[in-house]
Amino acid sequence: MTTVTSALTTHALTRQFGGLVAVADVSLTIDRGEIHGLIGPNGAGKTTLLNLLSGTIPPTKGDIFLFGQRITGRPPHEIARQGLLRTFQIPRFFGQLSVRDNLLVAGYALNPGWSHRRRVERAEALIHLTTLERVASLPAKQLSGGQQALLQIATCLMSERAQVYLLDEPFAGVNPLIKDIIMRLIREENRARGVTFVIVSHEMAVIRQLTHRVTVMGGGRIIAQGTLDEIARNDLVIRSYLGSSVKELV
Amino acid sequence: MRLQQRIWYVALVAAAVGVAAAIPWRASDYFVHVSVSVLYYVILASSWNLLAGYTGPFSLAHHAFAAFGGYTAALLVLRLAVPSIAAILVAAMLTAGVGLVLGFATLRMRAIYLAIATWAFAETFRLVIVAAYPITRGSVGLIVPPLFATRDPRPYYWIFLALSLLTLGAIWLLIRSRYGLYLQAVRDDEVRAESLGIDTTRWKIFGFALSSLLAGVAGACYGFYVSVLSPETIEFYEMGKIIVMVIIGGIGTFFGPVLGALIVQGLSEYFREFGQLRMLFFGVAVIILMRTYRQGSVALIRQLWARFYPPAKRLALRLRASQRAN
Repeated sequence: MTTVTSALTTHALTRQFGGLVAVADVSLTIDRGEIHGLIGPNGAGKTTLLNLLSGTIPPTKGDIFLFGQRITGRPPHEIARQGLLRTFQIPRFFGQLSVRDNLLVAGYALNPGWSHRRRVERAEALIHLTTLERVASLPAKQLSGGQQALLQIATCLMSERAQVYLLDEPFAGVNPLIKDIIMRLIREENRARGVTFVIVSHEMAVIRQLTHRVTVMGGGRIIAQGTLDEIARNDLVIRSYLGSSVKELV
Repeated sequence: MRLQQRIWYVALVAAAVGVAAAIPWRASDYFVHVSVSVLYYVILASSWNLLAGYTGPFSLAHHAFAAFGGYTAALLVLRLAVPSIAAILVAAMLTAGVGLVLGFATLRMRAIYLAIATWAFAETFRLVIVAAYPITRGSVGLIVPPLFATRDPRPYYWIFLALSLLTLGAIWLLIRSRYGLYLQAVRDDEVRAESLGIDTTRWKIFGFALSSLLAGVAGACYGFYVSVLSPETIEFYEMGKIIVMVIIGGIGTFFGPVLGALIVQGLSEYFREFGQLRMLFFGVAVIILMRTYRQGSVALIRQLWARFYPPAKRLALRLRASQRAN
């Protein structure tokens, strides 16, 4: 059984693609209000794990619990409405809709009880927070890569009920200014609403600044867990992912 | 939208509807007949645009749904002596049901696979109509009793004008509502829509069912107007015509299919003596548009208007912003 203090728990989660085991026997507990880093070399199974947690793909075996409720095999839209939202490594958005409409769609789908006025106010506040004012009326496909990354996170933040966010490489390919904005948004949501974050990233400096705990994956399995300092001393992690230069960070 | 703009909008639409409704009093029978066919295609093109342009699935079965509506209504009247109006309503509901099933069956299919599957459905339906001679009179054609005692096309014109306005009004309201945003979100990125809490299955099937329903109503009414139904209406040529109308007008735009139906059906009648060569002309027009101006003629007109009449651009931006704020 899962404990009530955990936001997200997996039991022996496994996903096979033919002969390839992308995620193998992963048992993981993410605490409420935690910012959790998920790191590992390319092909370690991080994105597959996020796809499993968000319902994008079903597991071959194992179970997933969100705040103690079993969500294994449920469709992504139900999981999203239950309070778990995600972003994608390559930003996904509604290209032909304006930035503002991208936010409103999320507002309608995730907060059905809100008044239209409240939805518009929230959208405008997020446009301001993400500095997208100048492009708010443009079709989203016209945004730069960094702006698309911001929009992707902003659409998730339209929900007031969401309690867990899975962010897949939110800092990849964005300039330092946008990186700062994303970090500020994460910290603010975590501090103000106690929202839980699982962040996949290769940027160790960011992981160090943001996360409380880190899970390292390799070959579809968890190879280490703990604070960044703890895992940076783990020989297996250094050999398979971090390299000796990590000592500069510790 | 500001009150003054709203009044202007309503006045413009009312004037356009008034002019359209008055056409039969001044025009010849032939012109009214052509206008009926234009209005029929306005409904088909707009309802297909609702599916392919606003929701995403590029169905090649829309002409078959119109024919299904036509045959169902006609057979209900001929074989079961159902009153025409009731037959049209039942035919529309059954067509929506078939659209719903086809939507469900093709749910997981993407792009070309969905196009092939829907085309196969249309072709199968055509073959069934040909083969079921005792019921449908196959290639000979099914004689349908007209709705009115007179052969005057005018009453049909007003019926099709009312149906077109209802269709366009329903689509206008839908695409400006939250549900319209859901449909467009599904079109743009299904995975993202699903991850933001939108039940994409439900909205894709809804798109299929609603567009089929509209095609079914149009097909049922058109059957009573032309008085004879034949499998020719389920030839791919018909589907090609609908696609050409939407592409030339502007796929994913509200007025595009209206303008496209007017241009394509109007020119088709004008160049009638060229027979099937007309489609060659439209095919070339589609290729040129796809290479030069994909948004179609509505967007082209909008851009030209904004260029030569600068206040139009500001007005368009203001309207767009105010539509969302309302």
